[in-house]
Amino acid sequence: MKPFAYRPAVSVADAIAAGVGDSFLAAGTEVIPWLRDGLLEPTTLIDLLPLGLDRIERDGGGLRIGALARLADVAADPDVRALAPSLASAIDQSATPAIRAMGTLGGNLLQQVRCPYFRSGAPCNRRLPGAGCSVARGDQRYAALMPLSFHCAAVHPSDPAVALTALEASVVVEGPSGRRRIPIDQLYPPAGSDPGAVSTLGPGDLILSIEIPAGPIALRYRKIRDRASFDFALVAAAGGLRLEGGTVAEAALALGSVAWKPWRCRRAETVLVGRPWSAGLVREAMTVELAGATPLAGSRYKIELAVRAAIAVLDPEAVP
Amino acid sequence: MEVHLTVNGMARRADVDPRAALLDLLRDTFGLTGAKRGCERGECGACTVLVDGRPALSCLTLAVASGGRSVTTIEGLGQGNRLHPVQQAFIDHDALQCGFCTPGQILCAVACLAAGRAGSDGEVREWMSGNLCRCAAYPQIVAAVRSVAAAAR
Repeated sequence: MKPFAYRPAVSVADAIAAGVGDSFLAAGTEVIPWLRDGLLEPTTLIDLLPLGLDRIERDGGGLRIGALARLADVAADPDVRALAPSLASAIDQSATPAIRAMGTLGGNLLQQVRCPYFRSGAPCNRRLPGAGCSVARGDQRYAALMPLSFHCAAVHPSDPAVALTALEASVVVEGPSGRRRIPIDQLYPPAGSDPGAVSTLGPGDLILSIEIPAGPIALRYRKIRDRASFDFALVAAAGGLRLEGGTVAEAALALGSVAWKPWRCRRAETVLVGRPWSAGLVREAMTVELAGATPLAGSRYKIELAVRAAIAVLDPEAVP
Repeated sequence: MEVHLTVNGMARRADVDPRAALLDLLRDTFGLTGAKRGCERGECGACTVLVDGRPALSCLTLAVASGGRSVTTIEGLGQGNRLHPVQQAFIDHDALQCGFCTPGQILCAVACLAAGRAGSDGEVREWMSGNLCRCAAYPQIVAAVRSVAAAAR
């Protein structure tokens, strides 16, 4: 690890000014491995935790969660459990109690990928542009159905980001050019981008809070993984629907671990609305949603997992 | 850089390299070698301590960012020669073999019990899933944690 200086931020404005040239540190559960792996070589680390930014509050019918709220505190918050149970469930199924007690919600959204080759020393375009992608001839179980590009098939690992995508959350960002709200889908780079970036945030941009609008549907979260605890998803789904007399009146659905970002299933939602609910309808909707998927031989199984995860969260008869 | 924190109830100060982990400070500066250096990437739990009463991985915490915090290590868990009930339960249930993971297991168990999440074997297993035991003493660890939960009721 190369030497760096450390400085606690004294205000949001101070952090942003310093962050233009330096790097932010929150809990460190992600940044410290970056430092050890040589993924980040800061001259100064600006510690954000002294800023607070950890309030969790009702906002109209929705929620506003400070970016530095710890994951465990978000999941345990009575308002979060009442208004966004899918987010609480996604956090409860993330990592371990120690990491949830440490890690912040804002930091969780800005993780690097967990592709087995990214940190392995094997060729990786995300690590070194032009180096090649080892997934093409390697372990493809964790690869995307909808990859960022030909150059990178890694998936986004966050559970909370999937729930927040289905909840249509936004992040409030303050940066050198002022404050703006970014729909969570636009926090992640568009398809075809160079694989290096974890987000669309620029130097000095700081997430202040995550805002969840009031929603009429209680969503659920289903995570499918190799181990029952302390594992990343093979496929995850967040979603729910509102029925009127057996007919789908509204639907929300997002998938995790199928793309470089949480995957909002707009096409599937359109198929669902106005039709009588059945598991077969969800299967039909997912066929439409995933028609453009380009799985590798070793990741094709994720299509069926995605269909079943979607049915699980959308089934009105299922126990939440 | 200078850092002031509380370790096992005592005010401590130290000069630390900004790169040093809290684990390095505890082990190499303060001589508290209970917290173990395992994977150094948050995957094994051997370095688990309590920071302000919450479970924390000391390998993923910068020492320099720990100013003002209160840290509890395995050395500070008992009172004098009296073991903490979780320590005693680990002995009673034979919940260790080599002992390398045991300080982290015990501190995570203390946090699990404090959070009221030891109501079933499954709940304990989920809560303790970040603490790996190479000797596979898992059934005995679960039994030890459950016994403390039962005694507290």
